Amino acid sequence: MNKLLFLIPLSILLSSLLVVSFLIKNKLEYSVSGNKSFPLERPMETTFHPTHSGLNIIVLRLQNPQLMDYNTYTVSLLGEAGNTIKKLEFNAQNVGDPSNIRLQFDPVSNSTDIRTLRIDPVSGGKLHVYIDDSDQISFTAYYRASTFQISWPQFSDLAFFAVWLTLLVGLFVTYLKWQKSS
Amino acid sequence: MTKPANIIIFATFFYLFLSPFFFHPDLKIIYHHSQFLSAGVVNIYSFLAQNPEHSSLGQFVYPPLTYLVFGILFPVVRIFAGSEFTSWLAQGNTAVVTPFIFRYLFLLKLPLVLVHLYTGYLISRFFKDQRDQALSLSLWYFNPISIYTVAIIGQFDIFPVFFTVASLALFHKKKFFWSVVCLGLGASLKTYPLLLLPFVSLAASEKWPRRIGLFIAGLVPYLIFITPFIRDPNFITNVLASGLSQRLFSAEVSIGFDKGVMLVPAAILVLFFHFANQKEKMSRLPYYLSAVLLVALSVSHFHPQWVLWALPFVVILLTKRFQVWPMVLFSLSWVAVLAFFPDNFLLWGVLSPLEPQVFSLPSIISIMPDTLPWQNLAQTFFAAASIWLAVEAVKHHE
Repeated sequence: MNKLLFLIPLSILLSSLLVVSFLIKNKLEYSVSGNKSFPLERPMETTFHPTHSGLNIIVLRLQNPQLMDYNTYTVSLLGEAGNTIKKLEFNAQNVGDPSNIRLQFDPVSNSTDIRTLRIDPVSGGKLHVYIDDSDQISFTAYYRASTFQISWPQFSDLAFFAVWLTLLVGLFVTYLKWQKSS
Repeated sequence: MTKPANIIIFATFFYLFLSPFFFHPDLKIIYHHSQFLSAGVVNIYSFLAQNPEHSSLGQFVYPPLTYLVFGILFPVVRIFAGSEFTSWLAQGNTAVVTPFIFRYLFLLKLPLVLVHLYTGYLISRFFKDQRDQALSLSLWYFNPISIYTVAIIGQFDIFPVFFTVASLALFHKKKFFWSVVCLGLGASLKTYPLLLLPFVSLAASEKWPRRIGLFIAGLVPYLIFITPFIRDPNFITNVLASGLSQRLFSAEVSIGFDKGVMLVPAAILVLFFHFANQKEKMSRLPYYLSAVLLVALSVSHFHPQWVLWALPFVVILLTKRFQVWPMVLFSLSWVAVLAFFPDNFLLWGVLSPLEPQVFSLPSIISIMPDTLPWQNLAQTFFAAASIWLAVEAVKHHE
């Protein structure tokens, strides 16, 4: 068996990366993932400082308990001085118990000026917002890339990748030894 | 010639390399539900019904042994996955944006990959010649159905598949009792191995009392696991009477007056009567088992991973009598069925750990011109390939 066969899984991974990079123009800007549901009774703010211009999608994790809420809510993206850079609205009828709600809009050219994301409550509203352990609002933001970019995943879990690579290298070395002995 | 051991090492490398990078929510949901075993919950069906705050990802729709197996795996996986693992499991079906996503996917799939690798080893042991062993291993590990089902979407169908292969291995060692027990255990994870039980019982003996005894012995493990829940309406609704369980029996030919003939049971009965008249039942058993599952899948609206059920027996058939065209048609038509499946989680969604925005892409079927019934065509070609293989299986003599 040819040693070059070991490059097949790598080529599957790289071709998958090329496909998604070609198909998807909206790239990940920022993400906070939380699992605590918190009632929206006062304006809730979270620090958000995009590093790319062209912000165009915000995905919020929300809960409309028993689907009873029919109010319209406002999400604001604020600058350093508290000025509104983008205001977005959504209706709680589109929120599940719980679900993600995707707000897509024209790319914001000066999105690097954004410093804060805020959600305002509505009188009598029942909506819940998901937050993480640091009380940051759970959301994901994307920007529209103006040029072709490879969507490199975040390889930030170094401990895992160290173990995983060691395992794979160990298998490859074992293969070479066995092949030599046979 | 490549030694079988080298193929197993390469397959291990292949599956462990790919498994962290592809996602499907089903396995995550099963682990999420099964974590409640550690909290002392035995009846997950009524627990979820009574605690809707824990059922945001849906109900548990698999038999009780599945809950038990993943409930035992969960604390082991959690040790290596880290403190945020449990809260990630509770998140929605698109929760791929987390720094630990690759670690989670690797750990969730690792038990499946190991069982898949061992199942390949068991299949290769059906053959004495090293060349046949190498061919059977290559066919089992490096076909699109295995790679997609185990390494890409991580479906636990490999567990009942393992039990059906173990059952056949025990049958060949003339350990008939344990062979049918294995089928019962497989059926306790996903019900389909019960379709094979009459054939194994029939082949194990020439005497009807012994055959009936073995058939009952095969049912016992299944009954042991489901009996405590049989009066629970949540279990009946979500498992026994679920749409998934009924799919194999929904294909009908109308005979008028609102009545019909169920195709899958009719075809299996034909195979059973045909098998009952064979003289060499023991040696022909694997081929009839492949025919049963192929015929059942050919006229069912199956989930792509269900085809793995038939694959071990198809691999045994093709190793004995290698045929290119049925295999190519079978694989390509399966890929077409998958490509036209109107479910983005099965298609673009698997790439979401690499790029989470793939969930927003339209499914392939939604952008195809509606001049042709694409899904029906793919199903029809798959049915043709399956029946072709089933006929070859029934015709095959040692």
